[in-house]
Amino acid sequence: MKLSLAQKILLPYAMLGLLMLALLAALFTFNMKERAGSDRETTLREIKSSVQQISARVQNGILTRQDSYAIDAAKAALKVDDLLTKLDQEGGGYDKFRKEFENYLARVVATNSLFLENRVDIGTMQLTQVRGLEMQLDVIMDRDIKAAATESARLVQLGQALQIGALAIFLISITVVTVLVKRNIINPLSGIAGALRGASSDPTKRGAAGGDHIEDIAAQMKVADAKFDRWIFDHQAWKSRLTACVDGTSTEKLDAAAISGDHECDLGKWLHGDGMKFYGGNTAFMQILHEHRELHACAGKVVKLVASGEPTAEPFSTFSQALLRLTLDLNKFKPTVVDR
Amino acid sequence: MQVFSSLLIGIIIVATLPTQVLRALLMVGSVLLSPSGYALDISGASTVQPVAAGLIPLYKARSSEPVRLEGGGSSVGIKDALSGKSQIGMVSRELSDDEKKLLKNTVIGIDALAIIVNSSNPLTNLTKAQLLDIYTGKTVNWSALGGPSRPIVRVSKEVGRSTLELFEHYTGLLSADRLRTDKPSISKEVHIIGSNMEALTLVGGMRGAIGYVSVGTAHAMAKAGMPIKVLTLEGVEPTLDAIKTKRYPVLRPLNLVFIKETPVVTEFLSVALSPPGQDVVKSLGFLAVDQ
Repeated sequence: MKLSLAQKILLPYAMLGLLMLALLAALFTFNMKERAGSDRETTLREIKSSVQQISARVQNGILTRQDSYAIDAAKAALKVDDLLTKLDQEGGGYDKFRKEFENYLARVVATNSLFLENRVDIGTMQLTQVRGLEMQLDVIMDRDIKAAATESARLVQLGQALQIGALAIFLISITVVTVLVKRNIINPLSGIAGALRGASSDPTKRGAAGGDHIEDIAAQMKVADAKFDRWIFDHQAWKSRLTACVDGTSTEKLDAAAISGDHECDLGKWLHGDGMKFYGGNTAFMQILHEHRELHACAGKVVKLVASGEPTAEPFSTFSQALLRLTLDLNKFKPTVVDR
Repeated sequence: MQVFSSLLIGIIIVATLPTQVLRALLMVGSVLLSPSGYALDISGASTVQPVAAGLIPLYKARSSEPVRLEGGGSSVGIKDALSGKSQIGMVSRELSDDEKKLLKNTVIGIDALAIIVNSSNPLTNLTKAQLLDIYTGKTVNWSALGGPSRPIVRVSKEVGRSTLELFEHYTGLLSADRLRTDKPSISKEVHIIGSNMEALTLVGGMRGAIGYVSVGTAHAMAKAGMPIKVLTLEGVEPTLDAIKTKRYPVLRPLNLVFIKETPVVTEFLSVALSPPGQDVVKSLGFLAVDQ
């Protein structure tokens, strides 16, 4: 599957973001579980404390005969009722305990009239049963509190391990993303920057730019674009220079040997320098190299024939054809360098 | 002969004493004769108990003699009055014909039986049929009556309480603790308690609970902060007006019963029927007899 540049840049970060979200979700869920475990322990302790309050309120009610104690006892019982509902909603399975608690509540409350109405013998008997029930409730609560505390401690330990694990996964992921970004983005960009530096090679500016900064690369691309246009223009100019030479209207002194060499002009320097380095394996590039060499050879031949007074029609025609092909192929090859 | 002389002298001395002194002496005598050592023993229905407790300060304003007040239910009120353990028995129901032959009674107010649920219960009304289904165990969850999904916790009273008798009379159900008859009975899945306060505490302490108590006590305790509420029965709220016009279906008299109208008993009855005494009755949510 071929990925676009945007995909190459964004995908690693998107994956890292998703991983972060997944890790955060896992940590959050675990934290909720941990908190639920701690809440459960607190709830159970509150139930135990409220049960003890009920007993104390009923006894105070008997001793002081104040209705406010009955109200307090009812409110404490209501609190137990609500806490048991909370435990049930959290999947506690406290139906049996609720029944036992209700039975206890009814018995403890009923001791009120037994003592206040002087049915002390039955009252004492009932009180003994109530104490037994209270102990049963205590035993269940103590057992569950202990289990909840153990579970809570286990969850805390697991939570710490999970946090360390998440941190490790995060660091590994960051490293993987860094490697991917370097391999898929930074290295190719550096290569492009180097190629562009070659394409836009200007003896006065070479090495002055920072390198592979995006703005530098963009600047280099602009330069490269202009260079290609310049190279085409310069070689097009050779046609009118040669025509003037053939017509005898030229005022410049042309050196056939220098013109025949394809290393001396700016395009020639690039073709045999950075161009060859970065695009040496490219068929289109090699075609340009060949056309450029043929163009200079023909130009040199025309100048040499003019000097010896021989006809120039054939080499001039070959030159014109080579110039046309070079112009077309340079325009075609330009995006490979400039838009890469 | 000597005994006869002493008695004659005694009668002459008593006849010459001023009324107030004589009255005081009689009260002292009552204290000495009372098995508990109190000038006035009152026991019985827990429904009437708060009324009696409210009347005692008024009574003590007239006489500083000690008074003992105890609950136990209407049957205890009858039994104690008959045995002489209490000079006054509190009975929160109509007296039977046999009881009427043995005891004198004074009605000091009218009460109604209130059906109560926890204040968090969204239900506001019950029909007699629904009440029967709840107490026979046919309906076991409030969701069947349009309430939340929560098991119904039934609270009923022990045998000997007139509140239970009134409930039995109205519903036609009998307590499961009574000897078996062909009548339908209250479910065995029920918490049995004694006094109104106990019923109120249980219903206030459990969101799924239902019970029945004296309307006066229910209103007074709800006002004091007990988390309960009184339901309308067959669409009728047990207001004083509904009780007075007998629109509310479950009513009962609040009786004070006694064998002999001794001065202390007469004094207490007089306090109970006096305007301040009837104010006490009204303040507790009962219908006064002068209304």
